[in-house]
Order: sequence, then C-alpha cells, then structure tokens
Amino acid sequence: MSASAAPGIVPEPEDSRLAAANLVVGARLFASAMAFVFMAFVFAYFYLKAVDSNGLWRPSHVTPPQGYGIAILVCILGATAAFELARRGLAAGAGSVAMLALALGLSVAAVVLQLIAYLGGMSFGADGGGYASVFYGWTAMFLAFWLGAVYSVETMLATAMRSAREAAAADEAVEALRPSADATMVYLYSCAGIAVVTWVLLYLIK
Amino acid sequence: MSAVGAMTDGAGPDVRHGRRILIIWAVANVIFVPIVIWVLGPHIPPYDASQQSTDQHNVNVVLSALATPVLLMIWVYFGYSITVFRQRGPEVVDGPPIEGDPRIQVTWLAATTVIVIALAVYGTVGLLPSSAAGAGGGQGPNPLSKPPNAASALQVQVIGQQWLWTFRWPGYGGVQTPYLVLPVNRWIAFHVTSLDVSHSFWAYELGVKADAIPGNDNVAFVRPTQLRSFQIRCAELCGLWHGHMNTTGQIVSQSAFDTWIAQARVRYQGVTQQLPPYSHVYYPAPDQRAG
Amino acid sequence: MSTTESPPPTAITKAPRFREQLIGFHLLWGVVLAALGYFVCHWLGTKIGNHIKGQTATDQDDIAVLLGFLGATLGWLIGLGFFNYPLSRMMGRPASLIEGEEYGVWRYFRLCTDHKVVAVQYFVAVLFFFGVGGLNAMLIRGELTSDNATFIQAGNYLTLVSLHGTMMLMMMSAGVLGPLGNYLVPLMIGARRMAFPRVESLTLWLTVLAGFMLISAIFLGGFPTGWTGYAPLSVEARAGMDAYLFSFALIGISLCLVGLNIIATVMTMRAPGLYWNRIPVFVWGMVTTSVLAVLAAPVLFAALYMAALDRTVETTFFLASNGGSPFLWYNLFWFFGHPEVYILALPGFGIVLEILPVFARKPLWGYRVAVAGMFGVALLSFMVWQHHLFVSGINANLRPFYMFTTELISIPTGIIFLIGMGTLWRARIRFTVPMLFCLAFFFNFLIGGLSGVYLSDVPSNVTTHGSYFVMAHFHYTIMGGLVFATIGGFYYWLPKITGFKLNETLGKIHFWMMFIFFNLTFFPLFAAGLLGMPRRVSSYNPSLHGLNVFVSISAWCLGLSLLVFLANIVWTQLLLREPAGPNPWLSKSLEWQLPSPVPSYNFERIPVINSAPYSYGIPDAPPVADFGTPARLPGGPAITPEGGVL
Repeated sequence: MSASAAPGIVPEPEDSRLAAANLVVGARLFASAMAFVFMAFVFAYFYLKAVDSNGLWRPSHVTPPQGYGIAILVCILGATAAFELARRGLAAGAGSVAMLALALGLSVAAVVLQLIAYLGGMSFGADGGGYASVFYGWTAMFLAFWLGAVYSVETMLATAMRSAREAAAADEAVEALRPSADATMVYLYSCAGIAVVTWVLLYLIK
Repeated sequence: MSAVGAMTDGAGPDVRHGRRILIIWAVANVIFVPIVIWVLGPHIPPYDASQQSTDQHNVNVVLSALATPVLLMIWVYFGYSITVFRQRGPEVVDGPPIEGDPRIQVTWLAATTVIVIALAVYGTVGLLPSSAAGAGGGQGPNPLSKPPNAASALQVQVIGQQWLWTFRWPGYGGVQTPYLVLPVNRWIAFHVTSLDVSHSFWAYELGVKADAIPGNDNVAFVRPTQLRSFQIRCAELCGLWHGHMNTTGQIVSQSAFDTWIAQARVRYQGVTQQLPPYSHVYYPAPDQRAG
Repeated sequence: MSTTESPPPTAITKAPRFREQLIGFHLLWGVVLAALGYFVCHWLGTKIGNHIKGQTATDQDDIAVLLGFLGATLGWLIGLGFFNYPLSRMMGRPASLIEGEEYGVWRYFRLCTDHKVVAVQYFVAVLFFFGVGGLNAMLIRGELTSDNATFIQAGNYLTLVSLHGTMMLMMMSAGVLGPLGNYLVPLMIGARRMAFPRVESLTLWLTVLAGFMLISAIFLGGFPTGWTGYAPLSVEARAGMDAYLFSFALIGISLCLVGLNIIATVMTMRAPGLYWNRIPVFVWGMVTTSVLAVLAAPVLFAALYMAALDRTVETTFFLASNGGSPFLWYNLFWFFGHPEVYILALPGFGIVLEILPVFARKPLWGYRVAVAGMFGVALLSFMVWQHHLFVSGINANLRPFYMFTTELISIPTGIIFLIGMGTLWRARIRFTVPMLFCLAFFFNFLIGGLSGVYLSDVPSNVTTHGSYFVMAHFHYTIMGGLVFATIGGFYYWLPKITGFKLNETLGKIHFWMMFIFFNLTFFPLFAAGLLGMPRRVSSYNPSLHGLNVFVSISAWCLGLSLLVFLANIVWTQLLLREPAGPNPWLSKSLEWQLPSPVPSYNFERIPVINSAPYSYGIPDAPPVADFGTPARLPGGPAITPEGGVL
C-alpha cells in the first residue's frame, strides 16, 4: 500500500522559531503530564495517611535519610539555577559552556546521591508500611524523570560545545541552542518544583 | 459537479416540519409512556422482596418513564429526518445554509439542565436517611442512608473470601454460619468485609450490593418484607471461581429465625471457638497476606 | 531562507536493494533485539531478585518478567532506530526532523516521520488488535452458551475476558487518534507534518509492542483481573499480570505523547487564516481527546507502576494489612478510567459531526456550541469517577455529589445530539455507507447514554453495578458509538488515504449486518443484568440460559459482519484498486481538495484558509482555502515551510 505517487520531497531546513514554539508548547504539555503523575503520588500520600490501615502508615522506625534528602534537593535546585544562568547568557548572545557543565555535574550528582541512599542509607525497606511504599515509589519515579533532565542538559552542553567549535559566527551558535533552551528550562523548573514538593511531604513533614 | 441549490427560506417549512414532529412525538408519548409505566413497569427488577428493592424498583420505573419521552423524541426526529429530508435521485443538491439558532440552543440547554437537576434532586432524596432507597448499597463504615433506629438493626457480618461467603453474628456470640437466614420485617445491617481480595456481596432479590474489600467495613441496610429465598452472588471479579461464588439466602419469620440461630450457635460452636474474635475488619499476618 | 515557490528538489527515488535494506534500522531488527533484550534482562532479573531481601519466589518471577519487558522495549526501540536521534543529539549534532521517508513500501516497516505513513501503520495495527480482541469475545460468548459447563478452563476463561477488555481499551484509545488523527490533523490545518514527527512514530511502535506484549500474557499464565486490574487480586496474580501492567503502561505513555503531539500541532502549525472558529470540528474532537489523554494517562501510569512495585519489591500501596488500601487503586485507576472512556467517546463525536454536514449538504449547525460541548465533556469527565464506586464503601456523603456530576455530563453530551439533529434539519441526506454508520452512532449512543442515567442514580446503581447492565451500557456507548463512528470514518477517509474506492454494496451489507446483530447482541444484556447476572462469570442462573444462547449467536453473526468489512478492504484496496479521485464525496473540507492519495509533501504551497469547511448551501461560497497565494504574503506574516504562521 504505497501512499505516495510522487517521489519523496526533501523539505527546506526547519525554521528554528517554529521549532522553538513547538518545543516550548511540548515541554509545557509534558510538564502538565508529569505534574499529574506526581499528583497521583501526592494523593497516595494523603489518602494512605488518612486511612492508616492496620495502624501501619508509618511505624516508628521508618524515618527518611534527612542528609541525603537535603543534599539531593540542593543538587537539583543548583542544577536548575545553573541552567537558568546559562540560558540567560544565551539570550544575551553568548553560549555558556561552563555553566552548562556545572548544571550537568550537579544533576548527575543528584542521581548518584539518590542511588547511594537507596543502596545503603535507608533505615527502612519498601515493605515498611504505607509511607515506606510511597517513599520508594515516589522517589524512584522522580529519579526516572530527572534522568530525562540530565539528558536534556547534556544535549544542550554537547550542542553548545560543538557549535562553539563549528559555527562560523557566535550568533549561529546561539541560534542552534535557542529552541532547546527554553524547552529544557520549562522541564527543569517543573522538576525542581516537584522536587520541592517531594522534599516537603516526604522529608519535612513528620 | 454538483448543482448547488438553495432552498427558499421562510417560516413555512420550519414550522410545518416542526409541528409534524411534535405531533408525532406527542402521540407516541401518549401511547408508550403508559405502556412503559404499567405494562413494562411491574416487570422491571428488582422486585419487592424488601423495602429497598421496592424503592429501587420504583426508581427504575420513574427513570424509565422519564427516559421514554427523550428516547421517543430522538427517534421521532431522526426517523422523520431520514424519511422526509432525504435527497431523492442521483443529483447532489445542497440544503439551506442554516448555521444555528440561538433560541433553540438556549431552550435545549435550559431543558436538559432542568431535567438533570431534577434527576439529581430525586436521586439525592433517595439517599437521605428518611427515605433509605439507597440504603441497600454499601456505604462504608459511616453510612448516610440508614433507618432512624439503625443501632437496633440486626447486625450481620458478611465475610467474602476466595471463593465463598460466610456470615458472623456479633449479637449471637460471634458465631459464624455458612448460610444466611434473615427475619422478615426487621431492619438488617450488613457489615461486609473480605479476607483476601475484593468481592461484592450481591443479595439480588433484596436489592443489596456492597463491595467486600479487605480492611474496609462496608455497611448496607435492608428490611426484608417477603418470606422467600434470595440469590447471593459475587459482583466483583475475584479470581478463578468468581462466577461460582453463589449461595442462597432465606427470609423467614422472626420465630423461625430465633430457632435457627440458636441451633446454629450450638452446631458451629467448634468452628467459632477457633476463629479470631469478632471484629469489623480482619488482617492476616504479614506473611499470609495476599501478594 | 528559501520559500516554497521554487520547485521542490527531488530526493532519492530509487529504492535500495534488499541486501542494503537489511542493514539499517527497521522492524526485523526491532523484533530480534526485543527478543534478545527480553531474555537478557529476564536473566538479569532473576539474578537481581536473589539479592533483594524479603523476596518470595513469585516476586522473583515478577522482577524477571518486568525487567525482561523493559529489556524488550529497549531492544525494540533500538532496533527500530529510535535511539539514533537522541544519541546524535547527545553528541551535539543539530536537531533534525525528517527520517526514513524514502524507500517505498519499506517506510511502513520502520521509523518514518511522514504522518501519513504513521497513520496507515496505525490503521493496520488497530485493525489487527481489534481482530484479536474480537476473537476473544467470540470465544467468551462460546463459553457462555452453557450456564455451567466449562468448555474453557476457568483460568483461561478469565484471561480471555481480561484480554478482550484490555486489548479493546488499549487499542481503541488510540483507535481514532492514531490512524485518523495523525493523518488528518496536519491536512485539515494546512501543515506538512505534525509538531513532533519522530514522537509520532514512537507512539505507533510502542502501541504495536504493547499489543504483542499483552498477548504474551497467555504464555505467562494469563491474568484474572479484567481490564480494571483491581488490587489486591492484581497483586496476588501470576506472572501474566505483569504483561498487563507493562503493556498498559506503554499504551499510557503512547497515548500521552499522541495527545501532546496533536495539541502542539494545532497550537503552532495552523495555516494562515485558520482562526480558532474555522478549525474543523473533527480537529476539535482530536484536541479535546488529546487534553484528556495528556492529563489522565499519567495517573494510570503511576497506578500501574505502584502495582508493579507491590508485586516485586514488596511495597504495600494496595494491601490493607500493611498500611495500604485497595481504595487507592480504585481511585487512581478510575481517575484515569473515566476520562479514558471519554477519550473513547470524543473522537466518535468528532467524526460524526465532521461527516454529517457532507452527506446532509448543510453547514454544521451550531459549530461553537458543538465545540463548547466537547470541551464541557472533557472538563466534566475529570469530576465523575467515583460513580464507579457507589457501592464500594466510599464516603457516603460523596455519593450525591458524584451522582450530580455524572448526570451533569449528559448535558454537553446531549449537545452533540442537538448539533446532529440541527444539521439534519431540512437537509438533503445521501445515504452513503459513512452516513449510515454516523446515523447508527446516534441510535446506539442514545441507548448507551440513557442507560448511563440509570447507572448514575445511586439507588438504581445498587442492582446494576457489576452486572451485565453495565456491560450493555458501555458496549452501546463504546462499540455502538465509537466503533461505529470509526468504521464510518474509515469508509469515508480510506479513499483519501489509499486513493482507492471501497465497495458500496459490501459496505451496506456490512452496515446492516453489524447494526442489526449489534443490537440483537447487546440489548438483551440490559435484561440479563437486571435479572441478576454478574459480569465476568462463566456460570449463571439457568433461567438466563436461553437469553445467553441468543446473545451468543447474535455475537457470532456480529463477528461475521466484521469479516465482510475485512473482505471489502482486502478486495478493493489490495486487489481491485479502482481510483477514487480527489473528492468522491464532494466535501468542502481541506483534505478533499488534494489529490488521493495525498502526496508526501501534502501541499505544494501552504494554503491560506478562507472559512470553516461547512459552507454548503451558500451560493458562490469561496473555496475553503486559497492554494495559489505566494508563500510570503506581501507585508504579512512569514509562513514557515512546514506550516504555521509566526
């Protein structure tokens, strides 16, 4: 079933303004979807807490690793801030490889810290009741989404580095980055906001 | 190519067709609504083995009586349209370019809103404590639809498990029986729970349905009014023998019930002694929980 | 920046030889790497499972199976070439949009960014999986011809029931968004592509994988929960349950991304002149469906993930004995589940309201009200979900509220009927096959919708919940509504997609068989439910035996009618191949002003839209769009090569 009678046409290169518009709209929609994923966890948190089935919402030995929690949150917020600075530099007309590298480093650090916490830093297992289930489920899901943030930052950095090497003029380099930058910013801010909510509900509130 | 025709607009055709449709609809209503209420109506389940099933039956008849004019209107309109407004012949001719009529839209919206609000009020009234039409449905541990003297109702715990029903009687020493026998003309309070997965206690003729969920005390009320047997089925998929989780209950006179429960206490004493004490919910030990 | 005025350059026209085809990323590699990925990760999973404390043997099984599925997904996507672009971006190479659009018929077996190709791939996939689900239904009805014998063993029967429901819901969720949405949205808005073409192809290939993954449940012991996956039964079930969890999660991702793509496309890539009040109502249907898909599917994803955790690492989200609650599953699932059924219903509304004006030869009556109605349905669909739980033991004070919201949703739904009725008023109706299906939609959805009113009333719900009454209700709305509308849409748009006519006589035979036997199958089920037959059972009260035999025979005839449809497609599209011409239905819509089949670049020039495509009956009405204008209006906004005005 061939649907095309004419030969394949290679269209002109993509207009970066349309790409940017699409990416930003897409990022915002994805952020809403992500928000609903974590809304499910927020609901689980409050619902299971209210029901306290068999008195096992949060047995006394179940406490989150506060040190790791703060450290991970700081890394996430730091990565977001570093990326925001890089993006502002971009808007002013210059790419900022150093800031992007910092953002990448901090975002990877958050992942590493979380993994270390899972493997050795927890005072309770996944079977430690309602709160324990929510804790593990929520943080692991967030980790998965944060890996997406790591990917986005890495591509920005790699594109910036390559453009710095290959672009004939500085503003061409900036043009290459612009579509992704705003979209990644939306995504990072959403992740950061969710990270704050996560920290407040899982670590701060007893 | 198609010939684009234009219909001459005027009040004439609109009013003519509209009047015809309304008349056909009115006649159909006069014929069918009484049939629905008085011929079909008495046969609409559930029947009248209990006060709740009778109330639900009445609700179903009312809903059917309301649904009939709506159904007929759509059927008459569409039937008229596809008969009268059809293109005869192979030519493709355009109809009049009518793009909307705010008066009709507003009227329709207003009418549907009124009907919906009326239905909601009617349904809510059925759920109020005074009327108890919805008391047969499981309402969790804090029921809203309940008889005025709910505390003095006969308490029966219905325990669902894979794949059978058992019944415990807190007012009779917590005895557990495999059969459900109920006294007539008395308020019964079911406390439905489960030991493993979710089931649903459906006493069909009584008009009672309450999900049996582990960790939950699901309360439903019924007042049986006829001496007869009733089917008990499981209405929530619970695994392999979900469709076989059936049994039959019995509504008997108060004295027959007293005799039966006294005999049951003796006959099932051995079993009851081995059971955990009566409680609204039962939790298995962690290593024996489902999962 | 070049405009589209210069003749477009030609690309590769000669297809590479077969040996060259084998190298590269396509379906064959996808299958091979998926299998490899499954076995490697399954093995890894058994090793990992050994090391997690508190494990039982069945947990280990589940970890292995779920990791295996994850490996299969990764292998599948790698083999099809979906990792090529992310990897090239990670190395800093520039962003690009187009991939795999050359190579003739091979395009259909690989990642292809031509939205029309993706739509055809979706069409084949949806039909195939619909057939699988339908076969399951035929077997179920076979078992139900006896009131207590078991031709099919109990576990297998439950798996059939579960597979039927899950397959149908998974596949029909994207049953219109996939084939028709992907094909028509760019065409109807005057664009050359969707906003995210690679994502579009991803959603298709995830859907295909998910379908086969669900079928693989058969080899893992099946699953007993039905499509609703209720806990705690889902937590205690055998390894086949993992197939349900994972495949449904893939569909959730796919659904979310399809919706995201459609919304982004409609927001940014409309042709000049396509103001919001000129967008075809079918596109509005796709947009409202997409809003639901983007917001509801993530909640499903979270819930399935929680169930998977409960089954593997001993969390207890849904187990009441250890701090969890089955009600958590019910609420999360139905918070998704109710918008899901509107994800199924809204495309039906869109199709029907799009097709009705063409064969009534009148403008769509009440365009703005129709769009408002669709948005009303979408908004309200998030506020009704507890009507699935009226007798489950929820807070009794909530029941009146949800009864009210559920009844409220019949208002915007009724608007769809009003618009249909208004469009038919003093029309000049032609009874083509698509029109027949659209009229049947109204007939069936009316019955389905009215039965919903019974279900929404709590006292009435006490008898009908969990019974065959519910079954009849949703089959009338989903099959009688959506499936009829979708088939009507296929009859209507297939000549545009392939360029070949379908046979009108076979179509009418298909229609009448399907309509009659559909009603004969499902109308008696209202009675069965009211007479006490629960859902998902294989044994029932002997007094209902005759009714069930009648329904089973009708169901088999219904299945036969779909074979007529299949025969029509095979005969006319693959064998006869009679050209349909650009506009066999004489529609004023934009996609019908193009050749059939539509060329790969869609429009030679991005058109400038003059009006909504419903200007029937207006003498000397301008065509819906102007195709001859230059790509850059003098002094006006720039028109990008891909479509969209900046």
